[in-house]
Amino acid sequence: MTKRPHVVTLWNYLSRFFFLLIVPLVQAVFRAPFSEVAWSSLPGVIAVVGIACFQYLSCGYGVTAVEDSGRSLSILYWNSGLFFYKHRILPADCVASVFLRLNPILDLFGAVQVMLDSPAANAKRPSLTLLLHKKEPMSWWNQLREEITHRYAASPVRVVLMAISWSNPASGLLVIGLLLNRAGKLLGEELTRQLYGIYESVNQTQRLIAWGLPPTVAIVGWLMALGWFCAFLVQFFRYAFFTAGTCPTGTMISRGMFFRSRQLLTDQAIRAVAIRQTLMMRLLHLSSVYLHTIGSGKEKGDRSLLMAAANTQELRYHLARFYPKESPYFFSREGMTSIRPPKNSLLSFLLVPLLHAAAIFLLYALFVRYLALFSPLVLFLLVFPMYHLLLRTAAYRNSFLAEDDTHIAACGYVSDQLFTAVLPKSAVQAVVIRQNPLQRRSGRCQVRLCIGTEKGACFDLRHFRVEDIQQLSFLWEETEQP
Amino acid sequence: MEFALGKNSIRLWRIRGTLVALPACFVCGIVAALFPIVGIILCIIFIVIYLLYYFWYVPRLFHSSLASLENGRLTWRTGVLFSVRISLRLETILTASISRTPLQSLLGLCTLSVRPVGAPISLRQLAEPDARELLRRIEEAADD
Repeated sequence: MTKRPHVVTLWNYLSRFFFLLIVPLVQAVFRAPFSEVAWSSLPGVIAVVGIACFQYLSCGYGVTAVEDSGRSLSILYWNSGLFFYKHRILPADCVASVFLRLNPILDLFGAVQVMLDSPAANAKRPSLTLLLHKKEPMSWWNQLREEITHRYAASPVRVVLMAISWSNPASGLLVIGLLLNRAGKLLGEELTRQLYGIYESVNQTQRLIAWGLPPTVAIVGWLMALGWFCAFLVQFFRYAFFTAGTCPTGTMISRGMFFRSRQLLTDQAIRAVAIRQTLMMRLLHLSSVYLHTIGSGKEKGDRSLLMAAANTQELRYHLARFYPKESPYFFSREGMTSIRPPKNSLLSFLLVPLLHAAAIFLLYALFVRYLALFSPLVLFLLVFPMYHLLLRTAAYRNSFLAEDDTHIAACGYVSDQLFTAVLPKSAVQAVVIRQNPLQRRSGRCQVRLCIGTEKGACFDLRHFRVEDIQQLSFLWEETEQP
Repeated sequence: MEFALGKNSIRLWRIRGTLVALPACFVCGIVAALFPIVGIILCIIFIVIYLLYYFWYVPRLFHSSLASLENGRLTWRTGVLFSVRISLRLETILTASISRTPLQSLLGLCTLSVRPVGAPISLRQLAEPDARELLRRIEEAADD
């Protein structure tokens, strides 16, 4: 039987016209209710709302069963479109992950957003998105929760620490910019003036100027701090109350404050498990565990976190219960064929940060010559190449690629983190071996293990010898072990 | 089983290179008219790059590009300065398609795109019979 989704679905059709038609009308009605201008756009609004209502009435979803070679298959379907009819089907066997999204607005209407993903999903959009009444999906989720055999809950302090490490000023500033922009559009010039006017009344900048910092630098500093704080809040609200559990159907992840999400990842969805460490975490013997899955991380800045900043004991304990097959490979390479970058490859690891440092010294020399006032600030940039020098030295000492009959274990670095990933051989979709002209001379290469997620996730392992790579069987063997 | 690129791929790359070179020639001419010395230096650099591309890079790219099917794996090698070797199991391929640009169809070439879960991989400038044979093998692997 075809059912209609929650009435909030109307918003999907209205949202694109909302800021252009409905908000100006409401604004004009409040300002001058009896003017011609206020009501002139009313017919357009009625037409848009009418079409949206018809579009909502034309859509529906349901489950049907089909026979395929004596086997009954459940198929979820979704019909939509008033002018351009669309019929989308998703076989139940293919659903790899289910994502429930809740937020205060949806709570107000008693709705929940359900996103279903399959291996054939688009990198940016789920295979199927539905807005449904909250009751049924949540009772399904609660039922699954009762079957949890092992549960992990991240302590709030660690979530705060993770949010601090993930937050960067640029993303926060982007959020602020968007908010101010939207607020300006919604509420008119007066409020925008008030919002921006806040900065005029703030005299903190003057204090910084008194310390000897140039005004521009002080303002940039305040903006960066504000941006970072906003990014921190976004990350914190996203990952607060983080819990993960394992049940017979797969891995269940529940997280978020205000903007909450509940995610079920079937075993089919999980392609690799990876431990990541920043240098600071490595010094403190802490690690975070991430999952590389089908159907997660579609939102910008979203991470498929499983464990936040866990110590080695916790890591061993929880990983052995969540992923008993993969867990031993993180701690031992016994019985595996293992290769490492050659000993003389240290310079290759350090080359890029060294070049960065050289570029900063060059920039410093230019600033001393032409903009002496700012020249000490340039030296602060040395923090980044210094960090990368240390990180890559650690990567040089720890990188490896190992395999046995069923799994591959890989350790390397990605941006500012070290990673150790364990993946079943069957999860490897493609192996890419790249050589630049320098590597061709030295007989080294970069190996990329592409795993089967719709976002094309991959692990890059650098500066391995080509002839060592050829020793590994996953590059050429015919069939993989299940 | 190995599949080299279609022989006309050399011609195709040279035509493309020449098409790109034409507007660059025009720009060089303008620069030479305005700043003769800079223009002449630019022209010399540009001609050297073009000749290197035409007589050195293209033949090498042709010889270094190869698709092979071995032990149920499809391997694609390409690149002269930056070499790339991509290897994937046939059973991981979700979709495979053959496409042609007008220039490719004129020269009897085509592009075979295979998509495992994630980003697609394009095997460009294959001879059409070779691409069809590869596609048939991929279909067979999917049936198994």
